[in-house]
This record gives sequence, C-alpha cells and structure tokens, in this order.
Amino acid sequence: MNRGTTETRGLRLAAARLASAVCVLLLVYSVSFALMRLAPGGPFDRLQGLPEQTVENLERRFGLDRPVGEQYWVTLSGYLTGDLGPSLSFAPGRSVGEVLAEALPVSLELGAWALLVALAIGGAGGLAAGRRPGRLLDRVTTGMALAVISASLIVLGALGRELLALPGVPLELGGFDSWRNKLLPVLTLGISSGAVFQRLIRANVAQRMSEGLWAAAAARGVPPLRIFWRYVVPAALIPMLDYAGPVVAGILTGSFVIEAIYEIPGAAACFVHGAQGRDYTLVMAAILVYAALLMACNFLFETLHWLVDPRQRLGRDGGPT
Amino acid sequence: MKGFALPMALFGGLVLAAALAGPLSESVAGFRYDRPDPSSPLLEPGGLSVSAHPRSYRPDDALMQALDADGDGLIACTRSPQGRCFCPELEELASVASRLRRGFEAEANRGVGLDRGTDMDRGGGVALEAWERLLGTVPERMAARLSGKRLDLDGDSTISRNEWATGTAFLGLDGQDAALFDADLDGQVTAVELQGVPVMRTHILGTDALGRDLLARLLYGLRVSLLVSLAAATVSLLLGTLLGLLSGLVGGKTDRAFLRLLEVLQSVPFLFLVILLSVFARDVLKLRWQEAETAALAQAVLLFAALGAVQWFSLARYARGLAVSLKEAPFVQSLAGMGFSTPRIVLRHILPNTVLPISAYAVLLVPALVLEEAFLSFLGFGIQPPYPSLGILLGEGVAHMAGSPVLLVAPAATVLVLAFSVNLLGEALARRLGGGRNGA
Repeated sequence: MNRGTTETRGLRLAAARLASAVCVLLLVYSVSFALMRLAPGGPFDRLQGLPEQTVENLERRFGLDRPVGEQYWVTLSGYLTGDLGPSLSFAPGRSVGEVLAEALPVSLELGAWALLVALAIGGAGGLAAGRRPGRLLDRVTTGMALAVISASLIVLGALGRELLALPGVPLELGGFDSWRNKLLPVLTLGISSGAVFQRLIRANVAQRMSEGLWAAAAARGVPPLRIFWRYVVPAALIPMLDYAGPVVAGILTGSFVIEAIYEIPGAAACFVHGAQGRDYTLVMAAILVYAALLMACNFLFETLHWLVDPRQRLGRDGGPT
Repeated sequence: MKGFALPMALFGGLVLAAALAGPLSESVAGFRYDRPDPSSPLLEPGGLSVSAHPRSYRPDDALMQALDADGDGLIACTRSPQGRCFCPELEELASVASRLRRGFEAEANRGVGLDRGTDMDRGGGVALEAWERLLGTVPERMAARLSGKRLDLDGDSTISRNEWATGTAFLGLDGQDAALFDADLDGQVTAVELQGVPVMRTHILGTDALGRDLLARLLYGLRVSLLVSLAAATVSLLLGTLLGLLSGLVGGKTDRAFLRLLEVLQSVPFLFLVILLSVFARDVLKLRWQEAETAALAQAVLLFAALGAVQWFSLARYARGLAVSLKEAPFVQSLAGMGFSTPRIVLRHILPNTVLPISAYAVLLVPALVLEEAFLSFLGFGIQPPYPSLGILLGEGVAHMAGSPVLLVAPAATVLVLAFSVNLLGEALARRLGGGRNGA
C-alpha cells in the first residue's frame, strides 16, 4: 500500500477531517432546523394577547412567513457570511452575534478553568491510585471518585450553593466576573470532571504497571521511580488523548447544570432559555458554535496524539482495541 | 462471588422498591405521587421556617414581604434551648401563599402561562382558569380571598406577576388562622406545631412543596428513572452490539468505514439535539393528546429512545473489538480449519462468547443513563409532570434545599446508592470475566 511520506499523509488526514467536519455541521444545522421549525408554536407565543396582525407583521419582519425551504437557504447563507441574525425572543432587539459574544467567553472561561482543575485533581488522583492498585491509597481515591460521579453534578452544585449560605464565606452567587463568584462553579465542575479523569488514568496506569514494561526496565537496573515517570506514565497518558473529546463534551454538558445552579449568564443558559422560548436563530447559532467548538477540540487532541505518538504517524493500529 | 453481595443487595433492593412502588406507597405511605394530601396542613416540612438563623430575602419577594410582620427585612427564627424553632412571623396564611406561589410557578412551568425563566422574570402571567384550578387545592376561606377575578386587576384574563404580588399582600397577617395551630396555647405558633405532628405521623419522609408525599414520589420517581434508563440501555445495547459485531466480523473496508463513521458521530453534540427533540416532542404530543399524563408518557418513551440512540457508539466500538479478537482466536481458527461453516461458527461459537463481556460493559450504561435522565429533567427537558423522576425530584430538592433539606437529601441518596451499586456491580463482573479470560 502506498502511504506516501508522513507529511502528505498528515495533510491528507487533516483535509479529510475538515471535510467531515463541514458535513457534520451541515447535518447538525439541517436536523436542528427541522426540529425547530416543525414544532408547533413560535417565538412570539410569549407575547400573549397580541393582535394577530402584529404577530404577522413580526413574522414578516424576520422572514418567518416565507416557505420553510427558502428560510433554510437564507439562514444558511447568512451563516456563511458571518451574519447570525437577530435574536427573536431571548433578547429581542439584539443580534445573536452580540448575545453569544457576551455569553460564550463566560462559558469558555468556566470550561477552561474547570478543565485545569480536573486535570490537576484527576491526574494526581489517577497516578497515585494506579501506581499501586489495590492498596489503601488506591481504594480511598478510587472510592472517592466513584462517589463523586455517583452523586451527580446536580447534588455537588447544590452542596456548593449551600456553602454560600454559611456565615463568613466571602463568596457570591450569580454572575461570573470576580473570583468570588467564579471559585465555586469552577471547583464544582472541575471536581466532578476530575473524578472521571481519575478513573480513566487509574485504569490505564494500572494496566501499564502490570505489563512486562516494568519487569524489563527493573531487570536493566532502572530505579523504580524513574521507571514510573519515564516509562509507565507516558505510555499510560498518551492513549488518554483519545478520551479527550468525550471529556471536553462532558465539561460542556456539565456547564449547563453549573450555569443553571450558580446563575451564571453563559452560553448554555442562553441555549436553554432560547430553546424554551423558541428563539430559532439563537438556538441554531448556539448549537452550531458548540458543534464547531467540539470538533475543533477533537481535531486538536487528535493532532496532538498524532504528533506525540509515533505509532499514529506510521499508520499502525497501536492503541488497545 | 466475592464483591457481588453488597452491590447486588443494594441494586436488587432498589429495583424491588421501584417494581413495588404502587403497593408500597399505598400501604406504607398511603399516598399517591401526584396528589397533594388534603389532610396535611398547608405547610411543607420546614418550608420557610426551620433554620436557626434569620433569613433575609430579596426586596422584590412579595411572599417574604408579606411574612415579615415587623418589616425589618428578616424572617425571624429563634431556636430555644430545647431545640424548638420559634417562628413568630410564620403562620398558615403565609404557607397558603407559599403554596400558591409554588403552584403558580408549577403552572407556569407546565406552559399554561409561559415557559420557565421567561415568565416569572418578564411579567408574563398565568391564565385565569389555571389560577382557579390552583385555588381548588387550598381551603375555601383562603380561596375566597384569592379568587382569580379579584386578582385580575386589569381584566385581561391572566394573573400577572404584579397582580399576584398585590394579591398576596392582601393576605396580611391577621393571626386568627394561626391561632388554630397554637397547640400549647403559649401564643406562639411553633414550627413543630405547624408541620411536625400531623405531617410526620403519616408522611414518613414528609411532603414536598405542593403537599405531595415525598416517599411515594421517590418510589415512583425511582421506577420512572429505572424504566427510562433500562429501556435506553436496551436500545443502545441492541444497536451497538449488532452493528459493532457485524462490522468486526465482516472486516475489511466495511469495518474501516464503520470505525470512521463512529469517529465522526462521536464529535456531534447530540445532547443539544436531544434537548431540541424533547422540546419538539413536548409540543407535538401536547397537541396530539390532551391529557397531560398520556403526553408525558409518550414523551418519556421518545426520550429514552433518543437517549439510547445516541449512547451506542462506545458499545459498538467495544463489540467490534471483541468480534475482531474472537475472529482471530485460535479456537475459531481451528474450527474454521476443521471445516465448520461460517454461520455455524458465528452463531454457536463467537456469539455466545460475547454475551458476558458485553453485558458487563452494558451494565455500566445504566448509571450513566440515570444521571443523564436526571440532568435533562433537572433542566426541564426530561420527564414531564405529573410523573416524578429522580431528576425532577433533585431539581425540586435544589429549589427548596434551604428550607427543607430532606427534599434534596432523599433523592440524592437514592441516586448515589443506585449509581454506586451498579458501578460496583459492573466492575465486579468485569474483574471476574477478566480473571477468567487470562486464566484460560
């Protein structure tokens, strides 16, 4: 089989990813468009008691009276030129671009900090537990991680909110603009995602520890700590890059709950209220932005994997099946 | 069977409780999950009162304002040395207002008025007839004061937030009704007198904000959550196993294309689409079936099908890996060498060997799906009223956590035990299978 050089192979892979990303975005757009438009009710139902003529005028104003097929193309071509359209019911009078430009950075910051916390907690817990499977440290950390996962983010968030009510706690509820209202949401989301990390990393490290790697290195006289950090940890962590996509998706999901519990005006909150108020334009734009974000993250981690792991470049199925 | 006993006992107990939800809640608790108990006093356990420190309130909270008799901005609560809570500013009228307010919110959530979030904050309202229906659940002497026609000041047939606030201010604090509850005639209505005696005697876990028995709701919620997630797990088990095994057995180009498809599908944010589907289904089904219960049931069916349909990817990957490794296993090779036909090898030898590992893997889907259901219902996109589910109960618990912790603690503990036991079960199963395979 002719594979070409690694460079051309890499480029071809990247091009294929880009093409499939475009297809997925188009698919997501079409499905969400269909779901939004086929449902009964519209964005102006909220304004009960409006004369019918007013509603009709509003619909004409936003082009909602046109045939659905035409709307499909008009919206799509708007997206291609960077025009996300006006918000219909969530923030009337403002453009979706404005709304998202305000809300998205909040969600992204929350997600990024939470990811850092999760990496720190999950990494430390996973390495410590996986190094000596079955020992007390392993049982305690793994049990804690399982408890955190089982408790669900909703309960964690509720408990965190209770902390705010304690006298003498200098933290605040609502908003996302200072450490006082950032700390708890970030910690809650980070801890719950960290628990997932801990389980993944522990399983990988424990598996590597039980392989011949350790014995072979020990036989050559390599000190145990060096074996662990130099041989076991990289071998165990690199396959983790495969899980990065789902983990980022998990943090995105979690931010829905966290934004609801801690009253944070982020993009997830926009989406939830927009979906309930039939704000077609806002919801579609939020979905597409999140889909693009998710795929960009996936692509980033895949590229990283490709760069770090030589087996990927050689085109061999190196990972565990 | 080391490691199985505890999770099996816990999980089995929960499943049994869910299966017997009907008889259990009728014999033990004696109440239904969807009806307020008419004999319970109108205060939910601890509703506004049972916290030892005074609670401040937002200045725009009309209910709290009505409660705050001396207008100092605090709802006073003191705790006696015997541990009783004295809440002189609390009384039945206020609890009626509280209940109406929650009913008001519940009606708004149900879409009679407007959607949650947009309604209460933006001056929408509740339709007059929905309001009258709400009043049907409170004593007549209260209902008379709050009749919809009296509240509807501008005559547009909806009760707006402002009109409602004016209406609750009417309630005042005249103290006559509260005297009925002053059991020890010390001139103070204590929290215990209000909610303790009549509530705790019959409702084991107390009642929720609308006066419904918490235990009955918990049992039914557990049943709904388990059913939804088991059904979703079945859907994704069927899809994932079938497609994964097929792809692994066929191999070649089909297999590579399938793997690629899985990769692409895994990068789609399905959660958003499930949420949209849920909104879509809710409205379509509401038009199709007028009764709330049928529509809610139909939506639950749709929801679990959707959940299952987006959860099968990892299972398919696992099943595919299993099929590939079994296809190359020595015993399969030698069977082929002995001249057994391919269908026979697949059906008699490969498939039976996949059953246990796949079921060990699939068990872990159940807690994940329970949490997913909880997540969707918490956001208001999952199971719809009148049915309770663990997610709905968690959401209600979070809303009333400060006043009545049991509303959160009970469903949270249930979810914890459920997820914990199923996870342990799956791990024990996987460990046992792993050990067996290595030994062979």
